Amino acid sequence: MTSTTVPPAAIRLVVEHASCRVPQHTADAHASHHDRAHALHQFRLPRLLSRQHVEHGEASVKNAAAEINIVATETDSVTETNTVAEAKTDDRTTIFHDLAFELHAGQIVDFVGPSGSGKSTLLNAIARLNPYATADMTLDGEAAASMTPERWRRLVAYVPQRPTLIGDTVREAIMMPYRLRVHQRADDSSLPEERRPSEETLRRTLDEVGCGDIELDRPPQELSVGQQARVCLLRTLLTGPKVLLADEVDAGLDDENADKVGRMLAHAASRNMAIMRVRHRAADGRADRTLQLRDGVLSEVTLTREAQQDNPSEPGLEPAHTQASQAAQASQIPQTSQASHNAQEDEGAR
Amino acid sequence: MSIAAIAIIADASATTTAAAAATTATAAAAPTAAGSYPIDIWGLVITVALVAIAAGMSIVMRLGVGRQMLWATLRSLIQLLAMGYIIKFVIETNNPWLVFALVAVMILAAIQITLSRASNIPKGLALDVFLTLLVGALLQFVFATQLIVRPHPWYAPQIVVTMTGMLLGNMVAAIAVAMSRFFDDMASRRYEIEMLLSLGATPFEAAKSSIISSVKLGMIPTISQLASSGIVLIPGMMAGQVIAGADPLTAAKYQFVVLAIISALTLLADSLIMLLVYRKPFTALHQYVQKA
Repeated sequence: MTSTTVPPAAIRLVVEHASCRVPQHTADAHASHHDRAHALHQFRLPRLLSRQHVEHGEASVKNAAAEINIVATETDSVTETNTVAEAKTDDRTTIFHDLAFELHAGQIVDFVGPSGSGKSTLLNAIARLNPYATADMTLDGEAAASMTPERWRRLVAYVPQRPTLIGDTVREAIMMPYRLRVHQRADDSSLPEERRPSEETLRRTLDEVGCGDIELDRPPQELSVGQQARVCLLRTLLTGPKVLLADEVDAGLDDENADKVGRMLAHAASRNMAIMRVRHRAADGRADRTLQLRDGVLSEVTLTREAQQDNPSEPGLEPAHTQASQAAQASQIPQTSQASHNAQEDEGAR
Repeated sequence: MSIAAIAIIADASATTTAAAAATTATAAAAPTAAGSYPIDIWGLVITVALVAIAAGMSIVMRLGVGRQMLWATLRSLIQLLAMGYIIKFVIETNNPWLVFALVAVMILAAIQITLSRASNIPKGLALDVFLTLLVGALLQFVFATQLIVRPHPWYAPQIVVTMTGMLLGNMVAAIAVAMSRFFDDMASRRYEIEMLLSLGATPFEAAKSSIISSVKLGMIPTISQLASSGIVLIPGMMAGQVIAGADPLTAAKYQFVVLAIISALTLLADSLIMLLVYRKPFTALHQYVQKA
């Protein structure tokens, strides 16, 4: 799954104060779920307490490779009675407000939540594609605002849900990004020609990730949806971003194709890429962490034993984990939708 | 005289209305032309009557265009006659300021007509349209009017107003089509645009295929005009001159010069408006915003 020799400081995407408020007409797509996204009503005190809670639970199982820093926005019991009218001010609806999290090299983070909760919006926002969202982000210490949007998007690549391929052949479609200026300029000291994959690299990569069934000379329109989705993903993977944001790229695919997509992402993660994927499927055991966005609250999710059957816990660490989770539970404040921080997440991140 | 100028923009193409323009132009330029057949009030009445008959047929057959056509024809008559009087006045006054004032009014009218003809475009494009039309008119004035035609006096309204009018007519048509097409195309390509942006494309790179197809579409009428002139139809300006009794060869040369330059400037205007306008659907951070 993930390499155990990932140096902790390699590739770190820090997202803070991610907020998104959309004008009413565009918010209609998010309809009912955002009637309850009352993140406007933030209560500082409980949030501070929850932060301490998370850090406390973590203290005893701190793993160098997995600095997890989640600050969840708070919705308390009062907000359940809030009316829709209060949530919307000046005809804009808040999708989420002041979210924060981090992504690390070689980790796959699953992003789950009800449809319409704003997962795509958050991913879009991280890639700086969403005009209604703001966030303070740094990648390896470099602030997003200090880069051009194009450069950021080259490093933090968003893969949309709908496969869209441009080109007369699959080969052309995969090589299309290299016609864009941002991929032609030498960012590091490498020449553009070096970064462009050769024909054999292309074929080899395709075969490696289970795409041996895809012929390079065919028109992209002749591919099946599953094949198109994989080609789109591969196209982005080949540009070598540091962070990949996959927005339900396995949606509507049959299980076999979905598994191939999962394998492609795992392969990329083993090459040190930080990956966040939105999923509506059952957990496939490839994720190191799972985040959930529900009602404007971002929280870490513990997977049940069954879901984690591909990722058995190591006996040696068991006692420490149990202690940590017990400690976490003891200090846990009853909250509406805050999941407890589970040490098994750390294990998965190794 | 391009009495026709404003009417060009409103209704017909540059060619047909230029006919009426050229008639008076050559009449003024060559008052001794023997072949000149002036039209009196009865001529106008018969014309309107013919149009009314056509409109009546439309009503009987329930085509639905009768009323529109009648109204447009009357409007055209009034505008053309008004322009005729204005140009006559401007010629008699012989004042360069007045000539350019008239050209300015024509450009302003052209802006308004362009914006109303282009469908589904965002607000705030008036300045871009104005700049484009101005650049086109200025270039024509410098190159076509001064360098090629070389009229005396240099501000001769017969030439300046006429040619500007014909150019404006073509530019308005091309720009309106190009803008409509661009925003429509961008909207229908939004998934592609999102994909391109997510791969690091600049707004220009993301909009490029829409820009190209819009410029091409805008140029279709002009290019087919060039292709069909002479063989399919004798363009209005040449026709008008020949009707007024001018030497057909001179008229042909005139027509070619005017048509070629107008086509070149229209292509320029078509491209320029795209360059000015393609960034509108994007924010300062190069994000695509789809207007509802």
